[in-house]
Amino acid sequence: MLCFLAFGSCYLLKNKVQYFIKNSYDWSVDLKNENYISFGDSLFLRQNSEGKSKSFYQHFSTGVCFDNRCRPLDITLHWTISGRYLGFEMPKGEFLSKTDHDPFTRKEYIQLNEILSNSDLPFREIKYHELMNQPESSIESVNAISGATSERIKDFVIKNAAYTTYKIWKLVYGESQKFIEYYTDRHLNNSNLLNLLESQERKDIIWGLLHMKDTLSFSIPLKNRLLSLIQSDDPYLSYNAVYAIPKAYLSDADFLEILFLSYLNISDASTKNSIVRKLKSAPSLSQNLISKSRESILEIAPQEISSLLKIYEKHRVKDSATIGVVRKLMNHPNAYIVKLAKDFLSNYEKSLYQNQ
Amino acid sequence: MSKIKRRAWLKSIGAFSVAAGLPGTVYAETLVKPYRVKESFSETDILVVGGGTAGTIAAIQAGRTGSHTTLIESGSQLGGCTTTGGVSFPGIFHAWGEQIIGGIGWELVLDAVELNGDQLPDFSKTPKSHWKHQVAVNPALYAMLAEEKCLEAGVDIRYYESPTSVKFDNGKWLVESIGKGVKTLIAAKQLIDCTGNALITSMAGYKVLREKETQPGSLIYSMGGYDFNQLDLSKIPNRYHRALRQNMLRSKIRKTGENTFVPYGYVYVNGADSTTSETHTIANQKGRQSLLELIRELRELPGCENIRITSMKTETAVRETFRIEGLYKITKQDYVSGRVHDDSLSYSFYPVDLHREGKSIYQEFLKPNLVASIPLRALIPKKSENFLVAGRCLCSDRLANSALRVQASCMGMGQAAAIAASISIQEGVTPAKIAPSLVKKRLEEYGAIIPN
Ligand SMILES: Cc1cc2nc3c(=O)[nH]c(=O)nc-3n(C[C@H](O)[C@H](O)[C@H](O)COP(=O)(O)OP(=O)(O)OC[C@H]3O[C@@H](n4cnc5c(N)ncnc54)[C@H](O)[C@@H]3O)c2cc1C
Repeated sequence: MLCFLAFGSCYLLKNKVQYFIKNSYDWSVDLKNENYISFGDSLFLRQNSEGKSKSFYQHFSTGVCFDNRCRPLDITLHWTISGRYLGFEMPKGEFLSKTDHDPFTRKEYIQLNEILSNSDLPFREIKYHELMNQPESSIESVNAISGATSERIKDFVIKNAAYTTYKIWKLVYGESQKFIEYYTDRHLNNSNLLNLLESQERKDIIWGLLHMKDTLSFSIPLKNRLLSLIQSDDPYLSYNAVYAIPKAYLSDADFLEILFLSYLNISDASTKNSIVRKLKSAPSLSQNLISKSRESILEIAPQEISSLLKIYEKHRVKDSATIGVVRKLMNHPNAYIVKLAKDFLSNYEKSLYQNQ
Repeated sequence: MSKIKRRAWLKSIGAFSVAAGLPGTVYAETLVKPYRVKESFSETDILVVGGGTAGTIAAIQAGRTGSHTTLIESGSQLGGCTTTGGVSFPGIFHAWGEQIIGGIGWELVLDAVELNGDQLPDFSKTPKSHWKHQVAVNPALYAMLAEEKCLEAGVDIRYYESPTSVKFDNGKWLVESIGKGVKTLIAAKQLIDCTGNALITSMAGYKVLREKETQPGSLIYSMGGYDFNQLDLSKIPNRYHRALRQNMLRSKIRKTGENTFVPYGYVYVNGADSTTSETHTIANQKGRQSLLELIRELRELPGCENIRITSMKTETAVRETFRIEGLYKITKQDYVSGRVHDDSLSYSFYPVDLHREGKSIYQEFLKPNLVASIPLRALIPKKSENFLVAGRCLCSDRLANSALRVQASCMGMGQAAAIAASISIQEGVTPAKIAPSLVKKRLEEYGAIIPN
């Protein structure tokens, strides 16, 4: 029987500790309709019947040691294909306990689940023996390690269960996660990339954007999704979406035109800067794009005029209409713009001379 | 040319060529007349003194308004603390998930990040430690890009120069500047002091002030030749741990995440003051002497026998010297309460951060969603005309200054001061008399973010 909690971020299966994070659809194991690929004897990739990758899980049978004693830890961890933590479960009858042997309460499991979903905790830099405040001389003494929880981490551990929290967090963000990311990166295709980019989870989208590769064959849905991310209100997504634009799209005139129009509408400076870089690195610009850019030149800010002229220069844009517009800039009230126009025209004239 | 003549002519070329084939110096030396200092006069709209963190941005912005701009920098490159001083991690441009300082400073940082093959981290999440949102830049790239942008904006850069006299005469500033073998008299409509030390303000006769005790400077370096993880710290006195640990953290090539910090090694230099050549020489000598001492001591420690310096900045970076007495003094209370004035032109975000005698740091953090701001009046010396400052020497009390001095804030000030100066020229009034709304509007056109 499933018992949903108020937060909707976890559920408790009677007699079985099982927590997962919000929006982790399709999480539960469905032995009938799934295929599994195993890596070693404990890490599995779950695929649906059509062979589409769903998630990874791994069972750990280990121990949490402190005060010269170890307690067994039997836990299964789940990740998305991008290595994002999804949840944990324990075999029937197993539970987590604290220093005083009290079992975790439901509240503590929820808290643990939240801690595990945070990849940015300082645990990465902290060694096992540094968890507790200890005088330096006793650093290596096992007897001394159950002292007060270090100030630095007290907000990120379950009270009286610092080692357990730390241990599980390290399992979540350890070698298996690295392997999962590596594996997915190597097997990235249009379909799982699109899934990631369309995820409800920002982290998945970012992962997808950071792993886009020029070697993939790209599709129209992917192109449209990328454009919508470029136009997103979230500056970080939009910046990374521009950054991720694959080479193939830079040869697509329609794509570049929309990219240029996005440039005019976007206010985030970092994204705009990246768009300029992409436009410069495109193999060529369409007449349509050049004509649209020409129309905007008198409306845009001085620093944008400078960027546009640099784009023209990179692509050796010298059609008479563009040269005409740049000549008009020579009458601009801002002497800086006049200088930019003058420099541009003088390079243009030099190039004419060189071509003769 | 007759045949014979032509042959003779060719012969003479041949003879010349033989001589030219000999080592150049043998025949190239000539006696030159004793050098006479080259004197010149020039006129400019906006004169910026100091091409550091704030001054570079001020000069680029001034140039981009179409004003004829001259920049005097006593060093050999632009960037000041950001480059020459080694504090190559400007901050902070974002607060509480939003960008609060943009404009030319950010443009320069972005270009440096991009050209270094880096990618920005996610600023939408507020980090646990404020400094994680500083953006590490490659100082060499930053200095070159800054120069390129100045030149593109038509700025006349004068390196190795420093003003020797500053006078207001007939509505214009007359600044005499001396450099290697040159002496220039520059007439400027507007003067912006970006020396970080308010030296030009003081030379112009306006009041400046200084604390009895100032924060220490730092000489920045890095070391190699040892493996921190292999050291037995229990055998090394505590006082060396910081020096050893900090140097093991390397500037990472950023991809994403909050890993933009560049811990760096430094020795404190108490009383460091970069105001004059003499005081700065002392600060440099003191820094180098204590670094030498440290290195010698470290090499005596177990596991550190092969330690060596791998880089050292050419000068001691200075935190605090003189501040102007301006039309408005930003107080610590203003800062931590996020006060916004009618004439606030830029934001500032950092904890109050006072290094005390190199022994401890007093820090006070802003409460969530609060961001401090910088009014134009804090950039105008009392009783001044056509004169502005930008950078750490703005008018503020000591604690507010310890936060306002950070680089993104200095860049914001630089851009604001330049726009104010150009509007002053256009309107024919002194900066104190221009309408803040006009400055704000113009700043926005140039990509700056205005407090509201
Ligand atoms: C050790 C240290 C650590 C810091 N840490 C941080 C940090 O983590 N993050 C952060 O954002 N900020 C930090 N800061 C603060 C910040 O770097 C400085 O306050 C800021 O860069 C000051 O900018 P400025 O333009 O006022 O002065 P500067 O950058 O010092 O520029 C002044 C320029 O003027 C030139 N100059 C001076 N006098 C003359 C003259 N008479 N004639 C011609 N030119 C002259 C100088 O050569 C220099 O180029 C730190 C500072 C120090 C010293």
